[in-house]
Amino acid sequence: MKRIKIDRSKCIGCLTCTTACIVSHDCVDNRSRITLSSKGKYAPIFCRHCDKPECVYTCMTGAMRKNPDTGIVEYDKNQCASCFMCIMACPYGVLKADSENNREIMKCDMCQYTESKSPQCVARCPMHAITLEEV
Amino acid sequence: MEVKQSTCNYCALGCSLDFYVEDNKIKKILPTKDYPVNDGFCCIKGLNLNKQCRKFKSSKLPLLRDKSGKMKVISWNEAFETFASRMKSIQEKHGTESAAYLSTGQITTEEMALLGFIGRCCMQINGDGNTRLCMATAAVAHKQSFGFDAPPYTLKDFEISDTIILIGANPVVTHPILWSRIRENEKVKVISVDPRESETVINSDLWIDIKPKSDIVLFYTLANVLIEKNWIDREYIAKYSEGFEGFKEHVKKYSLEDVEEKTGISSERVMEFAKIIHNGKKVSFWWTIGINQGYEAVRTAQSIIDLAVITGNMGKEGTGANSITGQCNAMGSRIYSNTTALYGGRDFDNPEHRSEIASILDVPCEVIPKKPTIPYNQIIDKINSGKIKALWVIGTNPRHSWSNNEEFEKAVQKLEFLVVQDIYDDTDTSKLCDLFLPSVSALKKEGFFINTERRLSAITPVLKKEEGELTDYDILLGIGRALKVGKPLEKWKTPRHAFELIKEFSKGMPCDITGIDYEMLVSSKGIQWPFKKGDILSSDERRLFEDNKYFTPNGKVKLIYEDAAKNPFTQTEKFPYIFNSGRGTVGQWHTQTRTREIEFVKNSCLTDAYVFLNYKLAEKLHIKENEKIMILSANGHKNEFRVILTKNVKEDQLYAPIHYIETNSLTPSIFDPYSKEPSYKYVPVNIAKVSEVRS
Amino acid sequence: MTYVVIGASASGINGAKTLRELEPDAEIILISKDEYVYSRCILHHYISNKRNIDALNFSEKDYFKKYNIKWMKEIGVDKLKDTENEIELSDGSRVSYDKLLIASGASSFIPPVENLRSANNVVGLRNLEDAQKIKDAAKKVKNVVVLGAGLIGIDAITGLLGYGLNISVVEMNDRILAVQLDKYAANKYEDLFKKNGVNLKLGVRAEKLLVDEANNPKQLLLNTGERIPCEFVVVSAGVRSNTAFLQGSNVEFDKFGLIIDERGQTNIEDVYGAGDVTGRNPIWPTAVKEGIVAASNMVGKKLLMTDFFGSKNTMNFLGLATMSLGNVSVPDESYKEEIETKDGNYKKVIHKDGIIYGAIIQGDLSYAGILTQLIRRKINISAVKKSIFEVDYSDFFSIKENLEYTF
Repeated sequence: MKRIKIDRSKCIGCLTCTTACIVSHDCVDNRSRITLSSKGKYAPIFCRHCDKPECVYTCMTGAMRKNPDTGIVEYDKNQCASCFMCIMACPYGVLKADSENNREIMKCDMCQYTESKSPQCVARCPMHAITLEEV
Repeated sequence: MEVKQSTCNYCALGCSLDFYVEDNKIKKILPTKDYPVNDGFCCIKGLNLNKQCRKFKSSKLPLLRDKSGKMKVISWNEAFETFASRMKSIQEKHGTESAAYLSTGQITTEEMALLGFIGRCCMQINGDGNTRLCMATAAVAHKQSFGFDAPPYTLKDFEISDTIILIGANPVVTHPILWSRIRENEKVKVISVDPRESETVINSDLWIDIKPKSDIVLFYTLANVLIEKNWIDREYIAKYSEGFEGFKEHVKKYSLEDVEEKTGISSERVMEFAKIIHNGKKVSFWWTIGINQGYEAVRTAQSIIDLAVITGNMGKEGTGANSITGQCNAMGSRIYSNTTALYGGRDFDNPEHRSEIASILDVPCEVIPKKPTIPYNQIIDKINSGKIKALWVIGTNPRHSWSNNEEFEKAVQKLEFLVVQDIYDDTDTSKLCDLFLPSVSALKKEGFFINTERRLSAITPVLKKEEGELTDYDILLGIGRALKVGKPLEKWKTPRHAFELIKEFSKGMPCDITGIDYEMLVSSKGIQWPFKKGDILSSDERRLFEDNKYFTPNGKVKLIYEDAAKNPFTQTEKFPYIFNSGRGTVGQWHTQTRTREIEFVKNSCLTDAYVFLNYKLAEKLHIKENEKIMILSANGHKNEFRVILTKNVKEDQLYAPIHYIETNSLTPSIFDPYSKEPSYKYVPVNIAKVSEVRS
Repeated sequence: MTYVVIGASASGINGAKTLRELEPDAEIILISKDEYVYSRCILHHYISNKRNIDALNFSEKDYFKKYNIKWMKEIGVDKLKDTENEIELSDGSRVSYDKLLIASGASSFIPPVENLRSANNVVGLRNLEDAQKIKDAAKKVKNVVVLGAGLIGIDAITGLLGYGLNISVVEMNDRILAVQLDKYAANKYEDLFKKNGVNLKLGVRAEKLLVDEANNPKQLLLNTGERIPCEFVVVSAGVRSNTAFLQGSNVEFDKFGLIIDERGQTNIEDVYGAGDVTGRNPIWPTAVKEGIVAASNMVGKKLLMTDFFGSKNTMNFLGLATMSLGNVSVPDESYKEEIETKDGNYKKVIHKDGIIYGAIIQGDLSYAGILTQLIRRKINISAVKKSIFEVDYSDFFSIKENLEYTF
């Protein structure tokens, strides 16, 4: 599967990835974020589409599923019951609900359903801090 | 749900944005597809324009400081009367020019024009803009060399050029959409001239790591090499330029022999650079604030223009000597604010221009100012020397952004009357004022901006004003009425009226927009000037000088040069390091009054002032990362900064983001002799240890 | 090779799928009392008509066909003959197995309050049948009492809110959801319930259920002497593991439930267990993981259960979400409690010597998952220079070879 490789030393905190994520999904919330560590270093916090996804294990409606072919952890917002167990389960604190209705989980979908079909954060990052790699 | 198209009001790219509005609330903002500037993308700032004035809400009504020092709410009428009466009484007591104003490059052109009328014609006072701090140099360089302040390019040139030379510019951070257009240009070679390894340098093909402020020497040396090798366009020079012989002699003084000592660039590398310029078929030179803020900035900018001219890289697609503008409507200010130039880029001392403007405005000729405004630094000096007693600050934050900003603090103490007109009552400057006039953001305004490539675009009201809220335009009219301007004020009744006046101001000038009706700007691709009455829009992306006709009296571009000046500062034992400053991140804008409200930005930016220090220097001085150090400046002030270690600045140089007030407490009171723009980017400093960062 | 799985909920469904993923050719039989595959965590959405039975299904579309699993539904298991590798079903038939996965879950516990166990119209909320009974009753009765304000009880109440009934909830503790919430967080929900017309009876006990001649509930008598009119009672007093069928077998179980090791194996080699039947850490993610772990080991692929952190929960009802982790109040004075109420959100973190032991986040739960790990792994956060409420993964950032994060 393809996973987004993160090289935090190249990140300049320009938030182009955040912008790209929001724009490509036609919404107001980001599905990934950039924070600063206590030492002042940028930390791109992105969904890893884990091999052992805690969000999938914890989802009690089947809304979170790992696609065995692409490896992408997919989220079905219509099946979701907004119980937020996944938000709690993600060990890296990647997830949150939408800001308007607090209902839909902002889940990285590798831009599968956007026009481009490939991650726009990767396409737009000016420093190549995030790249798509086969793992 | 309504979708309203408007223009971003942060940087000078002027990206178009679609605002999704329901019940007078912005539900989401998405960048406009197919807009010539940004085609469906934007940066994090524009995407979050709706976050302004949400967490930090200011008083909707004006505030007046009472005798006990408290700010009290007053009505708009009382505010206008107070303004008028106090200004009048100070002018009566201390002279007409004992009042002045400082404006901004971020209000609509209509507002700038109206302010230019009220301040300069009605009140007869001086008024400069914060554009003095970033673009004055480019404006003066253009005016002298081209004959008019006319950036000649269109953004598409970034995609066409085969050799892009960026000088003192860091578009990855300052104009991200511009950088994304360079990225789309697969074949281009990008050369960056910058003393530090900026984000743009990292992505460039070649880094010219110039010694700070030695650019003019490099460019004259390059010109010398190009002329010697005959790598110039003799035809272009002969037909379309003037001053070449003098220029040729002048640059002979700048040889390869001592170029390395002066610029840090070896003769081999300078030769390589010259070759690159020669081999390129479409070479474009782009400069921004690294050049504009200097003690010989205008001449340096002109040395860039000279290079473009002598190599024939002008007037063709993908070429040019191109200044990139900073603020969303600095261009509007340069032409229509009636401060540095008479309306429409005209001359205050030209009798024909004066009477034309007087008749458009329906005022007597005497009322039109006889000369340009005194510049920002002189306004501050005159406050300090007691000649100016009243200051009106509109949409800018000088307490933070002025170079050597403690001087502004000192000046304010001397004022009898400080008026601040802003959307926030808690900026570093607002907090000091006697009268606060709250305006609303551009989300509630109607008007237009002009972007860096001369593109006029509409600002449409996305939200409705609430009860009691006024735009800057409304406030200016209120002041005008209180000042009893009378009948001439009716010509300015609404922003649309102002638009018509502006059109007339532009008539016959290079910036002629008599062919544009306001409706043509709404929900459109914007229209670049010039667009005269009767013109047909052939393209959404036009450039100037394709006909090789410049705006000088004889139609030729002037090659202007001067001996490299001596740096007023040098590194000494007392102040051995060079302090440079500039933008830090994409998300932070200037003094952060608006971007502080964007969560994405807040969560990824340091809250306290920081400085980039080279690893090796830190080691020598036993300084650890995140430690707090004291930086002592040759300007006499000192301040604390958190240390971030990097290899991207040279060992004897420091770089601090401008978004923290501490940075400009250290910058110098040195100004370019022609543009009067402050030379922010070079001041010698020293470092002292303070303590560990407190957790 | 025949694998038999008992139970079609979190453990059973995930276990059977894992078996098939690792064993493409073996025979896999799944036996369940349930007629449908449904998530017991959202039965209240069925009660409130938010979802139909189909929408309760957490398994993949055409799960049984896709994974080639033979499903024997609506059948219980009466007896386990481990020495013969055989189970006896409720319809009299017998099924042989090579490996068995017991994922039979648990059932509602009705406490020995007088008449409670014998009366009509008294149900738990564990199965779809319970939910159906509640749904049917809601259209007919006027007064409902929910016994116990734990998670199930609260689910029942929220499911019933739209029916215009008089709902009373009887709870022994001084607040609802006493295990997961502190007083402040609980009060916020209590206020919302009150606004929705729910009668909260806190700090009281049920003494007796008074019934009429037809043995239908009439009133619930409390220890305070108060009588609450009710025609229907939903009991939320805990569950007991479904281990009855193990009587007479050699498989070990105790008062909590089936005993398994970290590989999901019981004391009997071919018999494994997973989920609520163990009576330990009865939360969904544990059930899922135990099912996967057991199935893995059943096939011979070693996999150990490592996540035993069970005191973690989120809830979202009446427009307010809360996340509860670990200790919700200070165990003793040596622990510190940090509280922040901002913009309508409530955050409470309990820590000691740089380690977080518990947290309640109410309102905006964005990115709160990091706390789960910090508590579970007892990660020291002394070096983190941020507000304890702003801790995020950036201070633990580390990338594995396969580009995933790690701590």
